[in-house]
Amino acid sequence: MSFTATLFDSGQLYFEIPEALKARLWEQSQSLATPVSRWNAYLNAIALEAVLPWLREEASARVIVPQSAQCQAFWELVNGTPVRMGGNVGSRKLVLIPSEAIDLDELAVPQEWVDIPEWAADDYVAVQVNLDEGWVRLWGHASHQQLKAQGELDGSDRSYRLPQESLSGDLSLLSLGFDPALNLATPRAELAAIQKLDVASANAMIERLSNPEQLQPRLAIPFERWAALVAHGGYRQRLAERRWGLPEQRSVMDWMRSGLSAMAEQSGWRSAGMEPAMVGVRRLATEKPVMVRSLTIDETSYELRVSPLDQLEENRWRVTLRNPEAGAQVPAGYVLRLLTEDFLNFEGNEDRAEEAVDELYLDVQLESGEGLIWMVEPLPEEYDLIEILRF
Amino acid sequence: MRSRQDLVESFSTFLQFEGDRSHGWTVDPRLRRSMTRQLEQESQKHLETTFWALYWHQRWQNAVAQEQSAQGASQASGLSTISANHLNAHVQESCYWAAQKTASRFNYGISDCFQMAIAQFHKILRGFDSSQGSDFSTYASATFASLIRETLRQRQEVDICTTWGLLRKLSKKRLVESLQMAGLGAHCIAQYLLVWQAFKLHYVPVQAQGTRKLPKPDPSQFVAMAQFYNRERGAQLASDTPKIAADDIEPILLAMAKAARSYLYPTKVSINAQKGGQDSEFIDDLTENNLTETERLSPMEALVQVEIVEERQQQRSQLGDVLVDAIAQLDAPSQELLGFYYRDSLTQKEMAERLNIQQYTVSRRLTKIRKTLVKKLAQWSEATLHTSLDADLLSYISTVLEEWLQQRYSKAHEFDKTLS
Repeated sequence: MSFTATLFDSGQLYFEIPEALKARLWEQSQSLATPVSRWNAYLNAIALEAVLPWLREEASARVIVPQSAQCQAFWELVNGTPVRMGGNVGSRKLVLIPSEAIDLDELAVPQEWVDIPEWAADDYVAVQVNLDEGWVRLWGHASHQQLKAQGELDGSDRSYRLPQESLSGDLSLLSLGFDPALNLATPRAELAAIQKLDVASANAMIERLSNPEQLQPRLAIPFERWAALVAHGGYRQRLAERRWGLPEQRSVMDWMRSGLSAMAEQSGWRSAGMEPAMVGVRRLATEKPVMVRSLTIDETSYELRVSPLDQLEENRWRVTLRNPEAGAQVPAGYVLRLLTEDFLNFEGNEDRAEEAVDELYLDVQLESGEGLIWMVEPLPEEYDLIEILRF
Repeated sequence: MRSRQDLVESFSTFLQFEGDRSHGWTVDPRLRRSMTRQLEQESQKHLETTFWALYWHQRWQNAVAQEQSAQGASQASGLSTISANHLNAHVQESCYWAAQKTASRFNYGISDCFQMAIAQFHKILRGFDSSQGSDFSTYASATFASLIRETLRQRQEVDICTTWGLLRKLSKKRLVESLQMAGLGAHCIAQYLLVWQAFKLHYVPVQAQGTRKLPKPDPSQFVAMAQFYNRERGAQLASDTPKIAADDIEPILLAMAKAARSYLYPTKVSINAQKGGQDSEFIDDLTENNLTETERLSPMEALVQVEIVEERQQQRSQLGDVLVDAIAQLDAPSQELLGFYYRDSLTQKEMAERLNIQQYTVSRRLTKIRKTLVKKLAQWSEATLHTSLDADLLSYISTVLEEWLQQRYSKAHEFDKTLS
């Protein structure tokens, strides 16, 4: 450890960046669209990986981070990495904000992490990254309230800025907040809901912003429009994937025909092999593949399954939620729901367990190219799983 | 250095250096008049230093709030300055001791350390929370010490960096303040910032190891920066801002890096120079006339404030008792670590060497100890004082804890006595 790190304060925390970690994370960041987003992804990944062991040590529950494909999508578009300390209810959410700055004069949090309700967090943590000396330092943190009340919204890069003297420099206070028994949750500042986008506008915006020559898509359109787009996990992911030059990654039809896409695999989908497909009591001559992803609800693993009901060309599908353990059931009160890609309900889009059942399922007949979002209640523990499946 | 004993003196005089040695106290006549006038009031004669520091800090805060709401009403602006200057005078000793301690440990000049700390006095003003009734000079001591260490760290880093590495490693705030300190006007700073934005977007590191030694951008990158500037200029700058050529970019970047380096080596600042000097006559006016009417405390107000301070102090001494117990319950290595940090002012590296552990383990352990202590204090406060446990209480406790540890361990042998 070189000289400069000998001068840190007692309330601050710092962590080593192992050399091997640098190499691996650099490699992973190279699939992003531009030098700017690759560097941003690299810094964020370094900050996250360096801090995670400590977060896990301090947490009283599981530490939830977005899956790698989701992280990369955030980093393609904006600085900052969300981490949830525990499940969906009563947990605390942090955003790590890495910076290469030598000085500790301010924390600059991109507006998205503050003003989009789906993105907002309880604590914002200032992370200084020093690649040359191989360390990461947590030097301050602020609450959502503080950022909204005392932070200055800088229009030139759409960031809330707080000077060092407004941050808390005592990181032990941050970790005390992870203790649910102390019940320290400070309410977040109130936020206006983000407008919903219709499908056509969303597609037009994605088209416009998907060119990687646009180095700062987040600043290219008014904030309200941008926020409406990226608040939606499905659109956010698609925009990022388009910028990476990838074709449609979530076409279930394609998965069935030629196997899962890379992004689908990174998002947790897998192929469960062939199963006899049933239509009524008639057994089809051919066998159909089933695509599966695991979910965790209330510390129990479940499976979400998608399979064709018929020949693929018929575009009829069954979506199932079940517990993969033999004889295990889905508890009363659980709901499986399908929505259009702009979050609208439709007839027969919900299956609710009035009592414990073997499985929940929905059958749908779709138009070619139609998109669906699946949802499960209670919310799974995993980080924001909203995705648009294309049929 | 001769410590000041007199109340008026300690809020109106400034430490002078000759070479690297302290050379007595210089009186600021305006501050002396202002303080003397305050003390003419019968009801305020018996008030002590701690009280006066809180008093000036609250005056400062109110004046700043007024300035913000009245958009720079000139009277308020004079008041915030004079209050800040009283406090600046008040913490000169704290700053000196912090500078002396660090200077001897890291082989720097005392005067240099003193200047770099006092130049950041505004951070102490803004960071201090007078509603918690803490002791301003204790807060200042701890903060000065950490500011000096942090500034030394930054100097090391800045000295190693190439111009291009450095420019990627600045916060926007630091860059703006550096340019202001270099005497640039608002319009010019806005132009420079846009060039900096262009630089950060078009000159991105392409290897994983680090950014200190980044080489000069190639000509095509300067062209891309100029194009970005010329495209964005309409949206971000005044409408008559001229275009820029690729060749103009480099000199601007060099000037910015130079300003950022100079920022870390402040030359001696006098109070007059700090505030521009031209309003000094006006402040005199204020002190003599308006202040007597509007800025004095009524006897009743003074009484209420004194009560608040006394209540807080009593609370603190109770919290101190809880802390003595809590520390006694820590295991021996944890107690040792606290001693190393607060009594011996060891760096984390030195602690790691003495305990034969990794340096990053030291920072984790210190945080863990703090967490244990804060939690104990919080639970005690909740049970005894019936305050609800929330973020405000925690931040209050964190301040009390730091203050207590600083004071306690500076009297090392007394502390040993309480433990035995």
